[in-house]
Amino acid sequence: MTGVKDTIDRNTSDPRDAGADGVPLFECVVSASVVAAVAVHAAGAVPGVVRVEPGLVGLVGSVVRNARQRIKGLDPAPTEGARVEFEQAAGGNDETTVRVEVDVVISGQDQATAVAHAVQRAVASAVTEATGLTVAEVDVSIIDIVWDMDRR
Amino acid sequence: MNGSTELVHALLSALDGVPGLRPATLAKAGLTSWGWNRDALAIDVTPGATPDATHGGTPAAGGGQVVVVRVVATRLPLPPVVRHAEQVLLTVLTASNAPITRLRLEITDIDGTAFGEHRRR
Repeated sequence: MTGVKDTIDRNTSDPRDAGADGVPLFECVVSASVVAAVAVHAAGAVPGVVRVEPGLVGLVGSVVRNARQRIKGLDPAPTEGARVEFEQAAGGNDETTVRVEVDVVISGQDQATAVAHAVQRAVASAVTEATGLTVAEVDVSIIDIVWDMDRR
Repeated sequence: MNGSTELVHALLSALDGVPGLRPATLAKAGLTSWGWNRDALAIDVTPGATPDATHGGTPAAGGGQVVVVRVVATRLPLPPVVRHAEQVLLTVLTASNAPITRLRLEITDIDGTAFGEHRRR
């Protein structure tokens, strides 16, 4: 599997204990694309957000990704417009946190900072609830503002 | 059919009983005409270390085997689904008496339908 992964659940944090009691050590990793899909879905549902902006690179990547997902028999879940990075939490414990960047286009009818804060809250909440990961940071970039909603 | 193949089939059967996860394989999954289960591609039983040990993964302890199960999520939220999978897969591994020291569940992708279910919750 390519991309960054993160451990979200394990029965012990010490690998040396593996198998000591006859039960294998368990760990679960979530790919960045899963987190990105959750983030894009959450951001797109925020009032005032017209769309999550994939950008040119994202559009090209989405063609490949959608084809791959079709081959795997999946109903494609957009990930373009969100970038995800995993970081080791400060303090020396095993916890890994996630940092999300989201690019959005918003409506000119709403206050930009209010919409951006709402996107931050929605993404952080959705990622934590859906994956169990701790969100350290959500960066929201307002790429464009649509004034005439009929022309979007 | 060797022990590893039997273990993979047992894990696939167990995974079949976990709503919200399916093996990360091709759309046309299941048995081929000659009896090979394509879903088996989603499970690796390897000695020594996890596949990405050279990129920060953790090596298996005691030289035992590592089982990697790659899945696609079809339901959210993940934590209860993962706990269910952990329970059933570890039960299979423990019963197999194979020298497995680590089970790694990799959620490689998510099905768009998961968001529909999540919204309706």
